[in-house]
Amino acid sequence: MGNNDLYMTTDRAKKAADEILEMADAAIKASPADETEIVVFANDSALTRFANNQIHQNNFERNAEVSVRAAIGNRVAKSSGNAVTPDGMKALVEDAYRMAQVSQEDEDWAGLPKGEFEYPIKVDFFENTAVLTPEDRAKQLKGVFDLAGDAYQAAGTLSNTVVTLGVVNSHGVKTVCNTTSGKFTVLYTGSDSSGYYEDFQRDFSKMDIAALARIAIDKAEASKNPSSEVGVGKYTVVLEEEAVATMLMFLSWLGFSAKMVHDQESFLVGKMGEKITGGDITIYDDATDARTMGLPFDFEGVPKQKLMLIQNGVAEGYAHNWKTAKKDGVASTGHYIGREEPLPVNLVMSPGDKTKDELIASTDYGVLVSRFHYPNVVNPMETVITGMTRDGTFLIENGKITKGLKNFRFTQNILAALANNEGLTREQRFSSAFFGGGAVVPVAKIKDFNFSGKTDF
Amino acid sequence: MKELTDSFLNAAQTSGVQYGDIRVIERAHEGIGVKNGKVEELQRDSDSGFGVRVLHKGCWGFASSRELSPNEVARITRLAVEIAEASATLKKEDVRLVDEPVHQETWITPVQEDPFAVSIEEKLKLMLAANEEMRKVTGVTNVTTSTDCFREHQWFVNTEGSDIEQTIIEAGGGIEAVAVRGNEFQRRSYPNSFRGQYHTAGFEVVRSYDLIGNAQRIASEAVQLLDAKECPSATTTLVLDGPQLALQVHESIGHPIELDRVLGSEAAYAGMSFATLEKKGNFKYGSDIMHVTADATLPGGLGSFGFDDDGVQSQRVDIIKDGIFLDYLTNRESAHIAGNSRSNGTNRADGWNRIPIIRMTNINLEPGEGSFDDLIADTKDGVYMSTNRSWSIDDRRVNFQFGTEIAWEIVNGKLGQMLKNPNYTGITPEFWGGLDRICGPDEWVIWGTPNCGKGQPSQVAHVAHGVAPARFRNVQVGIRG
Repeated sequence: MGNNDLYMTTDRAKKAADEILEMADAAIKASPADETEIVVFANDSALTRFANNQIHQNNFERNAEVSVRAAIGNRVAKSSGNAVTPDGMKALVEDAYRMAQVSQEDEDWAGLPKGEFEYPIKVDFFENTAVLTPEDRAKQLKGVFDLAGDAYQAAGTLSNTVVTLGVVNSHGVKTVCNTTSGKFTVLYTGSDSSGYYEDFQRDFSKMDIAALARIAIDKAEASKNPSSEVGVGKYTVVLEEEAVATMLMFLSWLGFSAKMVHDQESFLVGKMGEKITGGDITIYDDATDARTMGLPFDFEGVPKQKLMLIQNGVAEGYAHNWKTAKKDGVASTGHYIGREEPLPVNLVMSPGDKTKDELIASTDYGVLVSRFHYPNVVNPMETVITGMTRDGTFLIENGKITKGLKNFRFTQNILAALANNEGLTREQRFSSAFFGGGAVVPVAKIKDFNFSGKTDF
Repeated sequence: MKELTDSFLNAAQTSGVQYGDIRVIERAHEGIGVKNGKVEELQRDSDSGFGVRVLHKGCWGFASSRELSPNEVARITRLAVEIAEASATLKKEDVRLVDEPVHQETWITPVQEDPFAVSIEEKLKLMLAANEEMRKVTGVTNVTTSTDCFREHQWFVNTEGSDIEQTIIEAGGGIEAVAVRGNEFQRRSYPNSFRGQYHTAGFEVVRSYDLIGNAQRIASEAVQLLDAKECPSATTTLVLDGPQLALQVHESIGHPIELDRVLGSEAAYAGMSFATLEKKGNFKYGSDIMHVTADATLPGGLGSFGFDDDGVQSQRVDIIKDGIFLDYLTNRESAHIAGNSRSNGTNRADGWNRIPIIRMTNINLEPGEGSFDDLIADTKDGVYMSTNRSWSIDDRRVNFQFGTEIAWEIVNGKLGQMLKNPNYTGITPEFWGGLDRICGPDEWVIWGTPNCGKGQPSQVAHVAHGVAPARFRNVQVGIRG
């Protein structure tokens, strides 16, 4: 076992990246379109999934998406496939060209980005992460399962991925990067409680699986025998990182996009320069912060850069791609994600000056929320979402966590919650959001958080 | 193709696996989107590859690749075996498969008009025309029209001798109008929200929607909603239209009856289910008129196919009858745990690079009697809600909250004023216990849900729900933030 011939080593990844640039360059030179762009997102992804203290799904995937944009004047079309070959790219170029011929003029078309760009962000490639074998992952998980004992069932994932992103266009953009990532998630479920934790690292060796599992099972243990004594209503809450990250990603989806502003569908419309949250809230997008796992450039090859979104509570900015930037007469912020709406995906919320213990200690009566589950939008312009708590909800009394609680449904305005901020931790952590993405965030204490329903578990 | 499948069979035999299968798949998608008279999306997507699944030393191993060559098939099969061996080092119980007859068959979605054969020019013309009709309405902010078609061509071969070629074709589309005034955002969609209505069918279904004929009505409703009365906060009688009821079935019946969720496979992500094993055959899921089926044999649903990705033939089974919970959605691996001797054929993968997991097929609330007009006339007061806008449900599938695009008061058996920002909340068995009338077969439509997420790595399934409008008593509506 552990045969490296099966995996994407550093040398193989470099060779593959060079070949992608060479093939894309040749296909673009042969393109009949006025402008042509080829984006390749190639991945080797392995994921060991476990439940009930054993591995139940164990996967490996080698795939790629080759995406071509072709423009004839202002007529644009896209074609994508997964053949990373000269013939495959040529066929996609021809297909996109044929579709562009029959498309309509787009007066907002800005052309493809004009390089050459400087890319200040460098991402690392860790061979130990790239060649992690299923046996390596299984060895790490043995301790996770042992920790569960008879009282708990462990479920989650341990995964490692190699990604190559290359962008080449007919205006001189030609860039590629290789990187790795590892991710561990674990949920311990007991008879009436559960606890969850997760971590992301580009270098798998920095992941302390045993310590992460301990955090999750401690939370499950602490939330045993949950009480239903707290009814629906408005409470002071201490939201841990995953709940805060989920709220930030919803803000991104609901409005930090120039396209949504142009279409008057963003909550930022009419509010730029106004105070929309508490003065302690600063949110920005920053792929240069390595904790966000960001890439050096977006999917049209424009360098990623720091973008202020909300500064000290004031609405400051939103994301642009090449096309929306031209419409506003500004520069692209490097947030093209392959569709019309640019989107910030490397969100950071500035820290405060407290510890989590201090936030709890300053709370007379409130609720600590570990995670949200399945939130969704109730009112997009008012940033109202609804969702559930899960995997560790606790009562805070007189500055201390006193017991676990059964779960709540919340229906809450995100901006209002951030206006009701009563403290942030100085420690931040990258945490995933429920429907994808994530953010580097502190723990937040918020007053008058609206619990609109509850469950019996 | 035979070169690839033979390479797999040879490698699987050499490795001595207990069971194995290969799925070689070619997929194609074409999408067109027009917003405010401009073509914002004109694209074709395709991919191809293969996935190998082996059962070895009592455990699964799965590996996949986009490189379609016999050598790559052999390499990936060896890797799948290595993965299974790693899983076996921490095994608690052997995976056991229930029997399934060997199938050597070909299956294809019946279509009248191949959606990929309809020219882009013709599709664009329809999308632009419907767009233009909506833009004629004063006060509308944004209008969008879209159409998509999908084709999946799959070859399935397993070590038991099954050899199945299957082609599934889907088509659909829709229109959407948005009206914005300050903080007020209102949206109307037709025939359904989130890019429209979809079927396993040809382009004939898109033509049948009459998008142009409905465009001005939909845009006008979006504008009218800006000045409509707010949906009151009350506990009242609720009537749901087909698209909303379909999603209610999806979230509060379809997901809870997935046996893998019940057994904990999805615990860390999508969650588990309140419908635990001891409830099978005796749990009162809802009122006596509730009859729910899982029916992959039904023509035209997004959950319609010939064979699932275990190579099990499509079936129709009763899930709930007379309000009693009878059966789960199962696969070959889990059926015996539910006491079944055969899988009911719901193991489905999102392409060649994903392992099959239990997914919905067409999960249907069977029709009752009478027309929609009869239903409203029979309702003294309440709220009629239409077209999903938002959904949320807890990780056991008990506490839910849904929002819809539009609603109307029901007053003395008639539809009254339009209501905006309608939503409702409930507890699954209590809500279904309040079901007291379902419209008849003439109102029954299969609604497509092409965006069902589950699994890690993530998988998106195309599923469907046949429903007719129905009435529920004592529902809490008008929840505020």
